[in-house]
Amino acid sequence: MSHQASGSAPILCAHLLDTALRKLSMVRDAGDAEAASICSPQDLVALVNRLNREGVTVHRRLSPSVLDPHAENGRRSEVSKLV
Amino acid sequence: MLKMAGEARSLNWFDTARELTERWHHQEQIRFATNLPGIMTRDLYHPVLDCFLRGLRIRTGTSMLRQEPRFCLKSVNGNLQDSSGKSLPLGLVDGNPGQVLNQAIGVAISWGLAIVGTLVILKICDVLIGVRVSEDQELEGLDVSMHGEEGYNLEA
Repeated sequence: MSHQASGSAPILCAHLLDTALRKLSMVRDAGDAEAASICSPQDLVALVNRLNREGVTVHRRLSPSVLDPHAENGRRSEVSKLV
Repeated sequence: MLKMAGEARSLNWFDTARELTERWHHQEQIRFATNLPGIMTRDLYHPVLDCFLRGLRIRTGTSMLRQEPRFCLKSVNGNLQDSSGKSLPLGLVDGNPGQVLNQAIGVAISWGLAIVGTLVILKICDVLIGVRVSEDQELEGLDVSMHGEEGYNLEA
């Protein structure tokens, strides 16, 4: 798939939301939901790919108004600034 | 990039740089996909380029100027002596400000070597394999086309 397709925007937004929430959980709250054993660069790539794939699968199900409730009130919020 | 970014311990600036390059890249992709103006602008794109150059670690030689003066004390290193065996001042603290100039010259030489050497290597790579990806690969995103990081690319 090429990102030229307009359909890639929701996927990218889901990815950005997923990584931001994961980072917040991991770094701010010291959350460590699953232990990963990384022994090689291939392990790291496989882990990143899996986490990203799972994250997009879940977050892509969310509607724009769930992601950005203020957008419906006609206010220009953080998420709508992104897209 | 992923290998470089996967270091065991990250300093804060490095983590910020990693986030900035990732998010700049994806926002550019979203803007392209939705026909909005891009963000390859001086204030937004130059910091991204700066991050990539830091990733290449071309600044290493400059650390000489910061670290060496620690060893420029005759109490630490008394090997520089005059003919009568008396220790001579080494660095600025001992009373030899010329040493700072010597080190600045050293830093300038290391910058020169790094810059010229990098340009030579860049030219050779450009001729042999090319240093810029195709427009298609650029639009698809380098994390997919170069690094196989395709986790969010569901239709692949």
